[in-house]
Amino acid sequence: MTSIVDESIISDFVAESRDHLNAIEPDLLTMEQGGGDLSKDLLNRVFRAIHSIKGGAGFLAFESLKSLSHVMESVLMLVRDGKLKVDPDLMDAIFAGMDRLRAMLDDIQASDRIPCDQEMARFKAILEDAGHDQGAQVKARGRDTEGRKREFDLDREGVKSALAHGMNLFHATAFLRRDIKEKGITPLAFLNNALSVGECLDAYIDLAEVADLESCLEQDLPVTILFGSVLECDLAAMALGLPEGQVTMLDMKALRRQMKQTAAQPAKPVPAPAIEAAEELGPAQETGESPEGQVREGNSARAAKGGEGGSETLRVRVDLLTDLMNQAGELVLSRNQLLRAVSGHVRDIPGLAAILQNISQVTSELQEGIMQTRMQPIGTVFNRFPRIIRDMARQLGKQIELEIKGAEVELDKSIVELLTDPLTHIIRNCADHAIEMPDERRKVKKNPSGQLLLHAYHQGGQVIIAITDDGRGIDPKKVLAKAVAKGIVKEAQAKEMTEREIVNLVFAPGFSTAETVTDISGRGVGMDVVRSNTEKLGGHVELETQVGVGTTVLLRLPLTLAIIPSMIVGVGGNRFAIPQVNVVEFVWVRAADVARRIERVHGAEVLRLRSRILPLVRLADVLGMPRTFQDRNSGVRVQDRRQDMADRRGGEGADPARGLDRRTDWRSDYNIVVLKLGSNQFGVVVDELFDIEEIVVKPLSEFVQACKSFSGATIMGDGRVIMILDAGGLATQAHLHFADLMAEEKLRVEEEKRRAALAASKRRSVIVCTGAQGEYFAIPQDQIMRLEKIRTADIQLVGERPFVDYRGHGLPLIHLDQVMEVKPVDPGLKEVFVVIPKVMEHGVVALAKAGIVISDIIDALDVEVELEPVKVKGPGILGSAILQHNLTLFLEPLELLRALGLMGLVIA
Amino acid sequence: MSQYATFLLGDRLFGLDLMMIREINRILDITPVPHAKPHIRGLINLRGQIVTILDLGVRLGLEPQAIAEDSHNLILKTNAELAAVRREGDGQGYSTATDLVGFLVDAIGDVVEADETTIEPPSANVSEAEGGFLSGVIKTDAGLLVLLDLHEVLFSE
Repeated sequence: MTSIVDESIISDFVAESRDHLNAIEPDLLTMEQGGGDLSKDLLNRVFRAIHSIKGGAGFLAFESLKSLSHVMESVLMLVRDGKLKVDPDLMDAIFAGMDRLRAMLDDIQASDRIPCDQEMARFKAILEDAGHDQGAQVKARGRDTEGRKREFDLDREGVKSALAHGMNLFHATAFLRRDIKEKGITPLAFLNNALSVGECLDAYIDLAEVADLESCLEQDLPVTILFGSVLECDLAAMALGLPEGQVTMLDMKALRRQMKQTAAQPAKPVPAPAIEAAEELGPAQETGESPEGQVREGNSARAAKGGEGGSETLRVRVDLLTDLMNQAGELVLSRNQLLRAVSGHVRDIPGLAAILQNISQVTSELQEGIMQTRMQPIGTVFNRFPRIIRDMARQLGKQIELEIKGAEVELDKSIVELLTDPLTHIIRNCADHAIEMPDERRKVKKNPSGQLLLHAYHQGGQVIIAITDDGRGIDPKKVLAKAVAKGIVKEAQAKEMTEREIVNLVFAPGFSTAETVTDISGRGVGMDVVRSNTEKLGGHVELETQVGVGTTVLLRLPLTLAIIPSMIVGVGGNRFAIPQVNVVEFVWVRAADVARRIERVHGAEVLRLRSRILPLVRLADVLGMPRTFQDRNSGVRVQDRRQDMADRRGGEGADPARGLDRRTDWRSDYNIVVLKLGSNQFGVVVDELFDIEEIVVKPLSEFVQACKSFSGATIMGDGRVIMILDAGGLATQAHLHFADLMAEEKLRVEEEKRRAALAASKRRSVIVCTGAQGEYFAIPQDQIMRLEKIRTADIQLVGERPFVDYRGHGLPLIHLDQVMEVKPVDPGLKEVFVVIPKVMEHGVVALAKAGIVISDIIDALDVEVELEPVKVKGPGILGSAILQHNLTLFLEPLELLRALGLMGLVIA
Repeated sequence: MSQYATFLLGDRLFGLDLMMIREINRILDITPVPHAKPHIRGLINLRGQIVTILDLGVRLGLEPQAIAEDSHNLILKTNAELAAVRREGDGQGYSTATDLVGFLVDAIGDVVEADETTIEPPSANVSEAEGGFLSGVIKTDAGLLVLLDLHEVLFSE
């Protein structure tokens, strides 16, 4: 049967049916939560959706689909008529039925083979309990288009319901070609028309009606529709757009009689007992209609409205829109070329400027408008999540509340489609892993119901989609442990990683922190696919998390794929485009400042910009082009043989013969474009900077797609092709390791802090003394315990070591000239001084067991000095400084003693 | 009988089924693509469309040549365009690429008619590098024409 019907009719049916199912899902969720009073409109809506699917399925002879939707329709009819109460089990059955219907629609041609026994059984049980006689049939008499008497099988419960609503039953014949196709409507639209008139009991292509071979070959097949309506025959015909002769009322009197008689019949299609006469339609008609007079008007008004229908939307093929979009892009390019080509001659032609302005404006608006046609609200993706969350929450025994904001934010259709999978995965992950069980949540004083926020909004030329939960957050320790266990990182690496890097490990292929792999998520193939899908769209995904508090997944996406504003840069004589969305700022480093502002970290060049440290990439290097600079005089690009930007030696730089010094020549300045990649930034060194232009992105062909540095190509106003740079690709190509740099930066910052602390303590209190003539020493006061004066004559030698008798002990003495490169103290002096340092002995301050010999004590000073390193070799020397015009050597006595091994000396 | 477009690479004469060719032009402002494979010469602007130009000589193992007075591009039809003119009995091998691609050649020869049933396998003394890219030779009035295996030329590693 279906082979007779057009493919396009079937695909239209599938599309419309899917729309119906999607449209009622929020209603079903409301039904579940609603409990008590449910609006009649809502119930009707749900019923009619399934009803129309049943009608179309019957018409197209998809038997399984028809049976399942029929049984669901019966259940919904009972709910609508107040004969069945809504409870969780019923809703479960309905949702299960919906899923099965969707499965059938997904593979419509094989739908008859898709099993649905479980679902059918559930519904049948419910119907039985409600006393509904599913499957029972009655026969009705009527006439076909030729006037011949015919008998039709009708669903008993359907007839019962129709009669209860005061409807009469009709038979209508519509010819596929002359009544439907030639009127410019689809068969399904026709069917929907019929539904607006009343209730469709059955619809099918009636082969028995095919009068002759001719009409069959011509494919003008008759569609039989059996429906109930409160309208009169002629009004019904009008509403359906059919000639009056094609709609006839069935024998209502006989039908009613049959209904009473077969009330106790089992649910089997039993041939009804013989019906008498049945030509008297008149009186039956009267009785059927009089009490319903008012209702009739209402209905005819409704039918009339239904007939006009004026829809606000139009179905258009997507490829047509794509073509339009491409054409619009071409138009933009041509306009750019036109403007450029005539730019010099605009004044020559009067009125030309105004015309060009107009063309330009119209082109821009046209392009924007066409772009809009492809824009879809992200709500189309978001809408499926309430259902998913509901199912998961039930399955896992959790409570989850989903809030959706920004469903009206629009994105290009292709982006919306590609987002479905990643977003679904993230949502499922959230429900499965992030949100805790209600008890667990209560324990930590959280609302037992997990809060999930799905928020889409615009920011800085991008669309941001944030998925925030208040669950348990991502624990870096657990992540690291799993990553090491799975071999994703090595132990050694693990120690060096920052918390941010650890958390980002969840994006690594093969990662999953699920204790058990549920069938919902956790197969370890999720987050890395999310990341790659997002990047395929030209976007980025980020994670922010706090243990115990919650997690936010942030997806950043470009607004449109096709036309983007870009910065045009030049390097090595070629031009390239950098999409504006990646550009943070532009930094111009003057030649004279280069040495100061550009440093090297791990051998790579970096720029210090405010508080950030930016790795630098020379575009020429990354692209494998020779570095060049423009010779000021000749303008010719010459190769630059300097290795390092900060490497400026006088010889190479200066060119006195030509009167220019390359070090300060403005051509040697460096133009750096700062790009951002997620939360990282880096600088790209280019030769020249041109304008910002709107360019049409042309995808790269399969032959050059592998070049990761580029995300496409475009045609400039002058007709030349230039490549569009990809920030991520550039970073990879240049082997930028932001992690290393972060680590380095961290160390540097700590070092800075330390030095600052040290600088703060540069205030020293010292005793300035002399050794040999003209040699000054400074010793920190806080390291001195005693300063004693002794007579040179009292110094004795034990072996080669000098001692002096001090308080009954022999105190070893240190002559500085013997331990460092200084001159000896004048031996002719009668008296000298001994500096005895302070030591800690068993936690108590004590005298050191040695003393330093000095010739004189000059002063006690509080100084703040920077110590310079000295060429003098020796232990315990901190450095030197000029104090009161004298070069003074700063000593550290304790270090000195330690070095000489005199710390723990026991004096015999 | 089929028609073949002939062209020179160096001093060797090659041929391509005329059906595969969209146009022949001298749009020689070719933008190079850094890091592309050596036989990718670059991209050109063909009336608003971007076409990838392959250096056919390099592909066949010859040295890259500077663009000269006789250089031309042979722009191939896309698969979609070919499908529109497909004839009865055309086999699987009758395909080009999804995107617009063209060959840079040293010179263009005449269009030659030949009987496709007389195609012979390439001779044994053809170089290794070339061998994989040739689909056969055919005798024409103008001499021996070497035919290219488009699929190999375009897609093999």
